[in-house]
Amino acid sequence: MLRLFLFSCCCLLLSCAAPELETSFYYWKAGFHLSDGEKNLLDKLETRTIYVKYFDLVLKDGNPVPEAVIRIDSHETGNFAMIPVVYITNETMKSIAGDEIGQLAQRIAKLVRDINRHAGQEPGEWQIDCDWSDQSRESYFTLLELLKKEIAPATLSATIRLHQVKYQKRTGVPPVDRGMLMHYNMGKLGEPEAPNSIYNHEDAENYLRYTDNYPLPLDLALPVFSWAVHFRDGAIKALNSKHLRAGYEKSPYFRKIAPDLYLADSSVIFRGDYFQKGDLAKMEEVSPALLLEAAQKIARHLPADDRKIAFFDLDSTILNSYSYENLSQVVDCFR
Amino acid sequence: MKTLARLLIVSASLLGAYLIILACAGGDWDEEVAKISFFSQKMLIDKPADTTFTPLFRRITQPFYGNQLGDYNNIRLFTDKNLEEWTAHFQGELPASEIRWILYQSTLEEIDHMILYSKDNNYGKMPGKLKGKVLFRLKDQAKAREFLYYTGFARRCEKVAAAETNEWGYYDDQGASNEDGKYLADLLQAAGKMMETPKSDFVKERYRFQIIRLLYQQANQYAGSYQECIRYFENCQSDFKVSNQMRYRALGYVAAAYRKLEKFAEANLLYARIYDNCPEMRTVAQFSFRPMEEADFRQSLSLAKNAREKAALWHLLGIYGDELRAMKEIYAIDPASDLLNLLLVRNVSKLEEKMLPENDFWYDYLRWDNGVNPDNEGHRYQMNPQGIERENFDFIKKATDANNTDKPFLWNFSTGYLCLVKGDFPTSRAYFSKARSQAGQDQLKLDQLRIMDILTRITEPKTITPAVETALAADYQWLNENEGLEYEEQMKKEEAKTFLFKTFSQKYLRQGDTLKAVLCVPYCVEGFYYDDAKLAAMAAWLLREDKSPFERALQDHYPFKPKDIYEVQAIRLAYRGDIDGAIAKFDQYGAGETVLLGNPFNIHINDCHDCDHEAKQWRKFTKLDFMREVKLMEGIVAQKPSTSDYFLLANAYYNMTYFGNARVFYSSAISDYDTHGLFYFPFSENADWQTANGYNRFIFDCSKAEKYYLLAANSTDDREMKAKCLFMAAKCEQNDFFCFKDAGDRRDFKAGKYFKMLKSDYRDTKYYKEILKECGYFRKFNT
Repeated sequence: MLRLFLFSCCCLLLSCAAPELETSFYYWKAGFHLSDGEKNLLDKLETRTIYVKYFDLVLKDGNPVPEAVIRIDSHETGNFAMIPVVYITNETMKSIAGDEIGQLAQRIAKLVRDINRHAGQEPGEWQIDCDWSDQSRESYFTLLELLKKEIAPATLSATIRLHQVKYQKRTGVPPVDRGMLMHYNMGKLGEPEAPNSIYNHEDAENYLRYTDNYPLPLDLALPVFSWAVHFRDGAIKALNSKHLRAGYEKSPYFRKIAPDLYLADSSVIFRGDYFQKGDLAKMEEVSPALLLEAAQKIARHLPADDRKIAFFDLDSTILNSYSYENLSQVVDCFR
Repeated sequence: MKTLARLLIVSASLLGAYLIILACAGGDWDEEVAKISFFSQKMLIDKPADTTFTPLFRRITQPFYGNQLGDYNNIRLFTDKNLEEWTAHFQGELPASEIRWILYQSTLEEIDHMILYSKDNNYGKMPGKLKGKVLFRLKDQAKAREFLYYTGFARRCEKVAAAETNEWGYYDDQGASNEDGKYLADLLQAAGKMMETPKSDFVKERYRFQIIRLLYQQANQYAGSYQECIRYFENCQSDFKVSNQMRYRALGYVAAAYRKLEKFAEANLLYARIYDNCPEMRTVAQFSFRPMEEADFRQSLSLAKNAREKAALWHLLGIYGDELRAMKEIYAIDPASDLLNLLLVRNVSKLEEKMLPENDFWYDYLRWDNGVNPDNEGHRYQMNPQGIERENFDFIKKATDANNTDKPFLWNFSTGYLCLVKGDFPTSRAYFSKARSQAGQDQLKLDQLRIMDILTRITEPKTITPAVETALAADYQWLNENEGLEYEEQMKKEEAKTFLFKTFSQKYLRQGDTLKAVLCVPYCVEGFYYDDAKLAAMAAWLLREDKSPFERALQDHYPFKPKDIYEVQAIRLAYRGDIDGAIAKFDQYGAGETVLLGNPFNIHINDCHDCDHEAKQWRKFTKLDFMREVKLMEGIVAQKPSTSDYFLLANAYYNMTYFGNARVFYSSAISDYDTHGLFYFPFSENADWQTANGYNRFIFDCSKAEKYYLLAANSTDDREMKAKCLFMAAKCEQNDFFCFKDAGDRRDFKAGKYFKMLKSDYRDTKYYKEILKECGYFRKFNT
């Protein structure tokens, strides 16, 4: 009886304790280096872990090979725990033969460990990012199962895209310990007139309620990136992630024809891309106010729990767009 | 150079995943399949063996991942050139095979042995097999030694400068403390000393190249500076005087160093210089050329030493983003510049993407569904003159008419082609005629002209007269001849053929010749194969002996034979109950010779095609045999009714339906063609098949089987047999419910009258227990 009483007390205590939230970031560049501004922001937000993309796994001449392997200055990494992320193209998982998955899992694990060693890291979590499809699901899930065994006791997490939450019966739930819900890239990117494809409430509403019952514990990734979509003859020509609105505003070659649309008045080389006269650039970004609203909306669908709130992605350009207060307010939505 | 190629690879990411999806919408697989092209960019090339331009041709796919350059390998790119140069250096005294062995096949250890042996013939560790090398018998032993020294040094450099790395390896690349960094620094120091000894300019410039490459790698991966790499080249560039490739390979590293320093104007100018002077490096130079802003490109132009360099810069910009703008600039600099040609063929190729119709699979499919109406814009298959911007056309035509370019053939051909698409046939003919006089004996050019001539004769006539047909008959034969052609050229002929038949099908439809339209595009007329009169007309046409040559071409192109038409006719008659008629059709041209996969007189509690198909067949039935057997049994039951014969007949009619084991019976070449499932849309959302006149209704109709099961049930007193017959009738009833009474919304199971009869009157039979065991629906109904 006493035992039961104590147990109940513990439960009460546990349920009263505020969920532990951790603010995190994705680091998605090929060389790891933090500017002073970035370090400052991370300090203020008390960020202790960063999701660092170690490499991409792509298909080359029919074989899976690592690409854009990260270069890390080991002096830089001291204060942060890195969570290695490996991005795998769906093509790779589609083409791999069943009997090659074991070797692939070992190779991935070895390369990640080599980088860990170099960077002086002993991560407690690894993450795999792959937008799997019907044709690749079986191979991908097998790979995850093998990796999970391979890296135990570290936990394995996988990124979960919105459509994979909504259509979980069809897409399946990956065999991992945690999921990282990517709360962005939801709209139609291919149309100049469509609403912001990175985030818009309308499209978000179509997905939100499905997160209520997702079988994996979820961390959450929120967008702090922007890009300019380059259209020619109504079709996408390029996606320019380094292009900022100010560039188009100031350029004498572009004319603003709608709040987010810029028309090239003449043919021009612009920020490493080539615009022909008549091409369009559509600016897509998530303002601090929109980001906060997005967080408030999804917070209602995620029960208070221990989780990481990760911003995608850490780049010096976000320092101009978001203040410490902006980001901290966003994280507070989940408390 | 590998690093340069890597610069272009888009870093994959969460974003990356998105990019790939988008690529599908904006320009890869699906579109590639749909886009067609008649124009061969290869006409640009003078010597067929020259492949330095091919990677730069316009391609529709722009993969974000994967090897964009095919089997392009920048490490092995110069192997042949190197061999050639060393062979010339030894003026034939040293066999090419030995040079190849020394440069590329020997081990470093073997080279070191040879060096020591060349210095001292008493060198004890010299492997015997190496002593016989021709190199040691050369008169000029200093020259031989110089070769060995250089090879040993170059091999040592490769480890850090050009190794084909283990892709799964991770190398620490931070700081000079690193072992490789130290090794590289040592090499650089050694190189300084080695430079003092070479006698020949030939070897000297090779050392220079090695040093520049090492300096670049040092800056790129270890403690080193790009300025040092640039400075070194500037100081020693006069030493590069023998080999073109050595100079430009070295310059490639210098350009990359500028790029790393974000001096884009300088870097891009060097890439233009490399592109224009070293054909082997065209591809890598183009892929590395990346102006960032209009201003830095302008700066490159102002740094250019002469008009040629300016033109080369515009040329690269043209490939990078804007062929027309670049052509105009180059034309203004020098109308006869060869730098115009690649831009022109890329330009025409890009225009094709907008001005030609697409071979859209789904589009064809939908057209089959609804029939083609050539007057409906959505159905139209034709060239689109709006795809050619006026400014673009005007420039090409003006330059052609000025007749001052270096390859007038290309220009006349291109203008002719654009005029053809615009529908200005007299003008296009005039340009093609000029092009023909400039084509010489070049087979590719002549073939391309013939394709243009065919396209003209397809597009120009409003109505298709026998004369128009006759003129194209021989062309059809020619389009089918692919021997000795490369895949790309075969495809162009294939596409011309497709264009011919698709265009003609529309023209035939407009002039009311449905039959010929179907011969061109087999499914362009809605319901053609469900129409008895049309089927009969087609069969008669196919069997006609007196066909014109073009009609023979049509028949050759049409995928179906008289047999196939007869088969469809027979199937339709069989389901209508005209077994005699079916036998008569099946019996001709082998129309009924397909063997059924299971015994069509067998039946089970549960429908199981696979079981029947796997079961041993004591007797195999062709479609014809099957119908003859049915005919025989119908005769028997008419004379002398018996339960067992009624039952077998019922099974036969059941198995002919979608639910039975003889689905093969209603499939045919026509129904299986491509993806057009003529008789086979079991659960189509289109409700058409459910209606009495729906094309496929008969396949799902079990009423005839039901009739015979009831006759069998009523003709016996055996309660076991009665139960069996009623259960089979119940299956027919259920199928009817799900197919026709269910309003298409897949409602839950609902028992019909035969299930009820079984439950109320036959609970005591053994068969009843068997059904309970096997049939879930029945179990559900009973509980």
